[in-house]
Amino acid sequence: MDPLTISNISVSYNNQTVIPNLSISLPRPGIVALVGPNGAGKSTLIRAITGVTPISQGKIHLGSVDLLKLSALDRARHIAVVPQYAPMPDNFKVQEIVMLGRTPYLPIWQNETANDHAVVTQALKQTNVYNLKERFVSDLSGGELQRVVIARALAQEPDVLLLDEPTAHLDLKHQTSILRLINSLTTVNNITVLLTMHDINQAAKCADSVALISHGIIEAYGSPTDVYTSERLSKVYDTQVDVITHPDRELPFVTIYDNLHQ
Amino acid sequence: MLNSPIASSLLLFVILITAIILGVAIGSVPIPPRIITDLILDRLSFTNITIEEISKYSTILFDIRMPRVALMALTGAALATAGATYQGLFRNPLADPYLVGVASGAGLGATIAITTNLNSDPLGISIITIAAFAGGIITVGIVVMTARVSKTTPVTTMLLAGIAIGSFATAATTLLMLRRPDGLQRAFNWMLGSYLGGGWTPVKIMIPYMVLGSLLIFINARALNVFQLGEEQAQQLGIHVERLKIILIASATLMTASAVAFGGLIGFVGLIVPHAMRILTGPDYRRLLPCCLLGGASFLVLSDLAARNIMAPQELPVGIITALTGTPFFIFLLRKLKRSVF
Repeated sequence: MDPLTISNISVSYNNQTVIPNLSISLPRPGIVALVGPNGAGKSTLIRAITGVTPISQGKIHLGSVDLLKLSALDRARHIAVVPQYAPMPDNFKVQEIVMLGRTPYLPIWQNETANDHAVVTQALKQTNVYNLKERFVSDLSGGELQRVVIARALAQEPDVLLLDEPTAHLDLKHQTSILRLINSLTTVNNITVLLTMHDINQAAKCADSVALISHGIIEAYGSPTDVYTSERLSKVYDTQVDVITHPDRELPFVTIYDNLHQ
Repeated sequence: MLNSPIASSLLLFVILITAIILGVAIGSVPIPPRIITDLILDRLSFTNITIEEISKYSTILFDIRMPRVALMALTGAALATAGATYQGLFRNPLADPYLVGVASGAGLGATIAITTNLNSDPLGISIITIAAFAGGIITVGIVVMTARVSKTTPVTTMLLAGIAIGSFATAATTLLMLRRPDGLQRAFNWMLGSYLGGGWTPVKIMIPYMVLGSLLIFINARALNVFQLGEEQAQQLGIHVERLKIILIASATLMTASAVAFGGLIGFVGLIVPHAMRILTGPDYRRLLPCCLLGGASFLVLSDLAARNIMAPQELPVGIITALTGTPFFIFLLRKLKRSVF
């Protein structure tokens, strides 16, 4: 299967370099979590992959396809995004929102075909919101809404799904169910998943590998056990942390060292 | 909400036909519906009327009422369609066709023409019309260029630029009116939206703008749906966001400027009709825009009918009627619905 290969890209905003020179290869199928401090360039990397933020040099390939040479429409057939803040028009119904995910496949004058409806139904079912399809998005809870956004992204039938902080603002139960859903995407849809996360313990749990990013540079990339060392994390996050092994799960568990009460 | 798109369009179509028939039949000289049919059949050479009693209506019907009703229908359609487009583009329920400076620019253009007493009518139409059209287009052009940041035109900046440049044009208009008070009444009447006459010429001039503008807007209706997810998501779904903005603003501006140039500043149609149509058909722009076209046309034809007849023989500016009738109707719809429509 075709991996997503990012080679030597650099991204600047207003003459300020956010990503100086970054390379990473994401397996397919597979889940990679992008972790790192605020302002490290996580969201910028996601925007660069989707093409919303232009890159000043470097290449992004999906297998042998040069993504930078594709039109926005063609690129949207390969790459879908679940943004951190997704504005939703209140008066649209769930299935209408998910149908918008078919945009990259529809010529400007053409209406949805039976196949488009089938793909949407499949996405609604997979994300467990099929029973909500006639509801207005304004009536949904935060957890339901996040599922609808994921369903819309799946309706794009992407090869790569990018999720920016998919569990932010959700309670523990809904975090679990969203992460479970994301995990199923590699087995069911056979796709590449790249997600950003602030909770590095959660990242260790749900991803196959983690990429630690700092100042636009990948500091380490590999299994959570290899990447999470207390020395490295303390340096990158500029705060003393402890890394212990979770007693039951064989996973690294990161906690801040500082005793806040002293 | 009517579930079937065909049902709602059909309903609006029937309403429009009724409005047009009422519009041509009622006036200082009422024309009986039977005679209207006879005259139209005669015009289409199906029959041949020689009776003088009937043919005296001919001039009133074909040269006065019909062009006026047609112009009102086109104007209402243009304003409502442009209003819906701007509401979608700016993702703002308060947006109306005058948001980015068409109205204030056209107002300035018209006032310049009125106060300088330009009386020529090149192309067979009033110089006021030409000046208003040019003023509207130029102002929107300045607004869009002012708001342009590198290769993008952020909608918030455009909105603010529209307000700022609009205020400037309005101030200049007021200044001109104060300096030349003899033109005040004419300028004021124009601003409230008054029919300037002109037979079929305005209709013929407006049709190409309407056809081009609404065609460009209609083929982008689904893109306008995607736009409701925000610019970044629209871009990630493959929409060429900046190009879409320019196409839609240009189309809506052409339609609005031509409507304003002939009809003056008719308020509320572009704000209220799209919302009323949203309640009727839902938010999908592929259904909404055609319904705005039909609904806006009907609303303005009926409003103009009222403006001509309520205080006959005096004519009221149609803008007063649209505000007085549109607002209560809209409040009624909002109260009845009890949920957010936008």
